[in-house]
Amino acid sequence: MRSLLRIWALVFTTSVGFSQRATISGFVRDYTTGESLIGASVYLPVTKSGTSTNAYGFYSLTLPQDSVEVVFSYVGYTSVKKKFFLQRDTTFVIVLEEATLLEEVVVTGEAVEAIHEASSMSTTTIPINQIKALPAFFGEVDVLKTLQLMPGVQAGTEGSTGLYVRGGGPDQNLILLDGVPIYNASHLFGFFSIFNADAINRVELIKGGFPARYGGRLSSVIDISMKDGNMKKVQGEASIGLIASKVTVEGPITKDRTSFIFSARRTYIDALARPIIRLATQQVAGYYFYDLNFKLNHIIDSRNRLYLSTYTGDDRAYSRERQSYVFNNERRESRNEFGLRWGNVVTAARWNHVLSPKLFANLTGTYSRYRFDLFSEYRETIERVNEEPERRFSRDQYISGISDWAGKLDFDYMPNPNHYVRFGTQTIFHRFAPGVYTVRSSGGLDTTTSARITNAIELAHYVEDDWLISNRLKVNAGLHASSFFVDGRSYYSWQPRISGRWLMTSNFALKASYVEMAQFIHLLTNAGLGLPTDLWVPSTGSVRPQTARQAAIGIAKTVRNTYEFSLETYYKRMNNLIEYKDGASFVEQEQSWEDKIEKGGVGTAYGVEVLAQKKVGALTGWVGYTLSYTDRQFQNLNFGQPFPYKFDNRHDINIALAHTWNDKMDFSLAWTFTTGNAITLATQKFDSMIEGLNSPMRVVPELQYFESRNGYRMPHYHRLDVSVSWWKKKKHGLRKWTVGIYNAYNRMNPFFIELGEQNGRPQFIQYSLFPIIPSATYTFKF
Amino acid sequence: MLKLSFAWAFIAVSVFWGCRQVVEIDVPLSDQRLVLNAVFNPDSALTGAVSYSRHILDEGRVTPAPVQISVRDLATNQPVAESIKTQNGFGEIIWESPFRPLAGRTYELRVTDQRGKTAHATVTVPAPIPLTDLQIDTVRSDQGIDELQLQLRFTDPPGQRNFYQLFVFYKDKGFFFVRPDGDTTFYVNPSTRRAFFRISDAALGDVNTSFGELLFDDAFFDGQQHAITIRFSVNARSQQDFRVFFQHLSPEYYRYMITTSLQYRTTGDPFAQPVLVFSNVTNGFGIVGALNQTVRSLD
Repeated sequence: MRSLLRIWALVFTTSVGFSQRATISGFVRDYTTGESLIGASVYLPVTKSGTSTNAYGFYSLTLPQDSVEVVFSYVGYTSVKKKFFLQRDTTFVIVLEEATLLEEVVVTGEAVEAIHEASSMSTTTIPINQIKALPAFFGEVDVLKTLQLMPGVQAGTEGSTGLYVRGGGPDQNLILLDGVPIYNASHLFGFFSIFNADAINRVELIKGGFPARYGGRLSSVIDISMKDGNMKKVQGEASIGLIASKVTVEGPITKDRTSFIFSARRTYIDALARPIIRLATQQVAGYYFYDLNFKLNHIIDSRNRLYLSTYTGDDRAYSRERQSYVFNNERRESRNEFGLRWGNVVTAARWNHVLSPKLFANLTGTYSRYRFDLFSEYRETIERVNEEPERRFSRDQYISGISDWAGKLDFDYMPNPNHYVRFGTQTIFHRFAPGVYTVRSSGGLDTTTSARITNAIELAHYVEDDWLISNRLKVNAGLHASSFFVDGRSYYSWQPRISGRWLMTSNFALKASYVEMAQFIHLLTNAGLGLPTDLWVPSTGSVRPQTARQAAIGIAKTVRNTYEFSLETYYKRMNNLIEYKDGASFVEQEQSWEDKIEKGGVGTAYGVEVLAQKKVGALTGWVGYTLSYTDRQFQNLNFGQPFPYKFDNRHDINIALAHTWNDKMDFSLAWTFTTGNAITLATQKFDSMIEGLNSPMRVVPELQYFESRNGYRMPHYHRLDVSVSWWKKKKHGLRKWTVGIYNAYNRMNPFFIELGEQNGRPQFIQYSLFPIIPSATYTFKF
Repeated sequence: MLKLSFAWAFIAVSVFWGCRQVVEIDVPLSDQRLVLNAVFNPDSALTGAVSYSRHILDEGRVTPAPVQISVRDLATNQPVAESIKTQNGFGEIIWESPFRPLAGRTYELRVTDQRGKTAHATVTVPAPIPLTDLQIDTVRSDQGIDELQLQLRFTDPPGQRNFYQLFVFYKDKGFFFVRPDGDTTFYVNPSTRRAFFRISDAALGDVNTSFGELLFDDAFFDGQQHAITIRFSVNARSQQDFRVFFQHLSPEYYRYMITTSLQYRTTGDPFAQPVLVFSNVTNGFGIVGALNQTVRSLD
């Protein structure tokens, strides 16, 4: 009997313990548009604990059945407080209203998960409004160029959208658009990115301390989320600039249930320049690029939601020439055409399902393709008296690219306020086409030569837990396991990830992280330009996956919930890097890519980053400084000695500020300073072998001696951009004029330096790209 | 539309205006080094050139003051090139000796200048590789043009890396050239020219024949008989006296030729990776190479 009573007491106590907890869950959305608010804080002031919404605005918090006060908040929005008695699992869909720009957003002390509270480090989220407020190159707001203003991120060459994060290369950045990797995020040889800021909701940059759910690249994750589309009413924005125009329209198909967003952008350089080119060259020639974004968002019920998003964009350059003449009593008509085209197609279909108040699932199917196509065609018709016309043609074409088909299943599990568990799996089928060259002619020539098309499968599994161990200590620990199968060869990688913070005081934290990363695909790129000929290639039997280990330590502080400061130092070691061999150039397409590269390189990067940021109020922006060192070492380069990486920029300072004067006018500026890129210059010259010695030989001019790779520095790079915008309310919307100046003090920054001649004497000649450039853009919001 | 064109022209001008300028980069002066260039060929008397390296921006040329040149057979450790004669060229000294090197022997060339600076290099003269067969045919290309097709057959020595060079010289006959306007007639003197040929050989991989020569190694046919086929266009009215040079190169000479060719091809391409030219000269630059050649005339 006593035993039975003890057992009953135990069961009762246990069941009472279980039944004394319940879960609140749901979504946090924007009041005006219905957009999900990602990373919104769900906080309990009494217990000083809470959680944040996931990438789809979902939250879950398991609490004791008791009187509860919960604060929902998001940067730039007015917080909402809910007080109630929690008796059972409850669902709240919370809507937050955007705060007025000119008011400081007052939030209760710990209501927002500020920089010092997060377990993550080396992570920056930039509000899209802040990106759109900054001065723009040619008036085109650019997401990737804004990220270049962050500490730890180098821009590479003048005007490019390249990102060199903590000493890593441009292929080591995982650029995601709604979770789908983008392989070439550049237009116009890297001067613009493919991202239309009007269609973007959020941009997050992770430079270290990578959570386990990310993998596949060594140096950074740039997670870009598209807007879902306004669920409440149709709205839009159209703008006309000097070189491009764009339009964005979003709205409900069924109010509060189905929404869409459509965004388009096209340059018209070709239309404007065509008459001038025709006058000068008798040719028809031009260049343009375009981007199209489309997304559908459908809420099936409170637990199910569907998304379909797609992006397509292309760059096209073309020239055509016709000639007609008579020669030797023959009439000849010829047409010469040259075309260059490159671009991406990206599609994602996604299903969100709330399995239980504590468990959220996301199933995604994606397709991503990058393709580069170059052709030239010649056609000729020869007419002779009393004969049938003779027709000739020849066509060369070169195509390269990469395609991915992928499926992902991700889970968010929030068993209690102290744990936020994420786990999932992903499969990617890669198809690499590193170059197919075809030649056809009327003479019967029909030849195709190609680097072999290679298929590969990449698998990834992960589990991570954001664990609040105590009020002071919070840790994100996880494991990312990935594998790669190509040509009968397998590679496996286990990548531990850990990052954490220790709260020294309520607004000051010490942070640290250690991560291991692996990358199974490589980008062959030359000179840091975002060229369309950049080639994605797989790891093979001879080219092993790249790996990296990175450790970082830092401090983070929040002042008055308005200013965020961080100081971080990092050390990164990379292995199995590849680099073009001596003399290799992207121009040479005949060689197999594996023959053009050196393998097995090692890279080291370390530095200190300081960032001060303000995200709310009339004045927003940041100031960042980076002191960094990065080098490379290859057995067959530079005599096997370490050499500075091309983008080993010792000091990097960035200031980005945007100020709203009133509801009619705002002003912004961006100033950047970077010490010069490393370059290789010849130090001496000497005679080559003379023709005629011993046996007939070719004449080669004098030869150059390069003492070391990247042994010199280009002049420093610095530039100031400013812009002013005027707003005016009109009958059907809001009109905005933006006038900006790129490179306001006309600094001739170096693009490249080569040995040339000036006044008949050998000199180092610097070529610059962009002097002072004014721009004007007209925007209408309705 | 006209206003837009002017706006675009203005933008185009502002973008590309003022983009080129001289820039000061501190490339320090460094000690000049001796540059030795010589090729040991059993078919001809020994000759070479000596000069100094120069700062990359230096326009001047300093002819080395009288230098001491010696050639030594390392097997016997005895000097072999007697009666070395020198003459001054433009910023260099050309030297020659009646000595003819022997295949299979290793020689050291040593040069000392008046300041006591010494540069030296050693090289082994490779063995001759005879052509076992040479066939000549006239063929018609896809474009309907007559071409000469040569097929050369040889046997690669087994068990060692071997390096080769092939080129064809011909002599143009003198001919009269009449301008299209019909008023002017030129006479073009006979001259020796290099034939630019094409080759398709999977065993040689990607080779560049844009200089009118073929450099290759035996990686894919080590120790075997191999046939190389080349084609080049022929204008029978003006060309005659074809001579085929098939050379067996020393490894260092081959590396020098490859890297020199690569540096030359990438000069002027600011996006190409820099090329370090190979040198086997200790305390200097240049190349002391060796070759053994077979020359065949085509009638």
